[in-house]
Amino acid sequence: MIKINSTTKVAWDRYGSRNLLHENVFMNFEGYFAENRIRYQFRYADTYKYMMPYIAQTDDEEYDILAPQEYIESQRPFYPENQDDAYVEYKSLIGQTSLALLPHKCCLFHAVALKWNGYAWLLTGSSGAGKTTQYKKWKISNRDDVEMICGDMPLIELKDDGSIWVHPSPWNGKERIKGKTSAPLGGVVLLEKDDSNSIELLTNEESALPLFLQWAVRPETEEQIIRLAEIENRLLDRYPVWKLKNRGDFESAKLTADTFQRYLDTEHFA
Amino acid sequence: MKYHTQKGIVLTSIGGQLVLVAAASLHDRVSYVVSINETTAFCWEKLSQGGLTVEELIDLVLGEFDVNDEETVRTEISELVQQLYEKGYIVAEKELA
Repeated sequence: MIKINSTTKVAWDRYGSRNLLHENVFMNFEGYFAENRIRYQFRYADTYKYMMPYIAQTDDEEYDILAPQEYIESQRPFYPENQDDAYVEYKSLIGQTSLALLPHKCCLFHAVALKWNGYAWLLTGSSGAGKTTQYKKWKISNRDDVEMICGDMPLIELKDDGSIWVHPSPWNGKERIKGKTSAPLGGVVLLEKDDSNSIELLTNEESALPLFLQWAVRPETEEQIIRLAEIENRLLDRYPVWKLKNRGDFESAKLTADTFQRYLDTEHFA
Repeated sequence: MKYHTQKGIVLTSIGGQLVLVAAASLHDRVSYVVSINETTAFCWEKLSQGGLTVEELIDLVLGEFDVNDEETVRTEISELVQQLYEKGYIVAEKELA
């Protein structure tokens, strides 16, 4: 239950829970992303609902992120006409959250992240490539052995020792599966739809640009570009990236699982 | 005419590939990320250190790389500068004012 102070209640009573909050009344929340605190203010009363349970209300009146109204408006055309304002604001926060986390060597990444055999596996690719379908086939095949970390924008963290960890985030996709677990990265799969199933290990050069396009934000400064490149370079240096051409069937899920298992069987992990 | 690199574009290496990455504010003008070769990267570095004319850039390239055919290099560097300018990666000095 969200704590309502007298000012918030006045705004809600006056404007209704789905309407824009009074211009001088905002709702303050905080979330921890790989132990990095990010403080939010929301313009719309229901935005917090989309981000629960990854955030909590706070009395701290300072904030790190408040999406500019004009930016939210600029994103609206990308959604159906009847899409609620709070949802548009919630999605608008992806880029700002990523930028706020870059100095901490973290960034959101467009992928389905699943946990299997103690490691996180990132299934990435353009919309329609079959990421969620692949996860569903995995889940049906492996059931309890497979756990969803995040269904849309997992948080990628580069640790000081050069290892990469994958965490859940509030942006967990249409299925809204709220992952609770984090895991060290095992590898990345770039998916493509195809008439047959095949998988190949990519070189760093082959995977560099396709992966770079999957980070959740386009950096705004030169420093941010360098930080993002650093995270990706560390990922490429240490972890395998495969390309999976797939039909979206159980055979493709088995092909991927067998590939991961062979990799785990032959590699040493620090 | 001297040319300078556009502010907000970074030369970096990703996965061993030399790339130019543009800040978000430039995305209506230039591609977000584009891979380039060693010669282009060299030219970019030199242009980013201060304004250079095409001739000055050609001289630097000739001094840096082993070339068999100087005329081909002159043509290629001239075309490269033209392409970078037309695509918005570099700007003419007079446009900086």
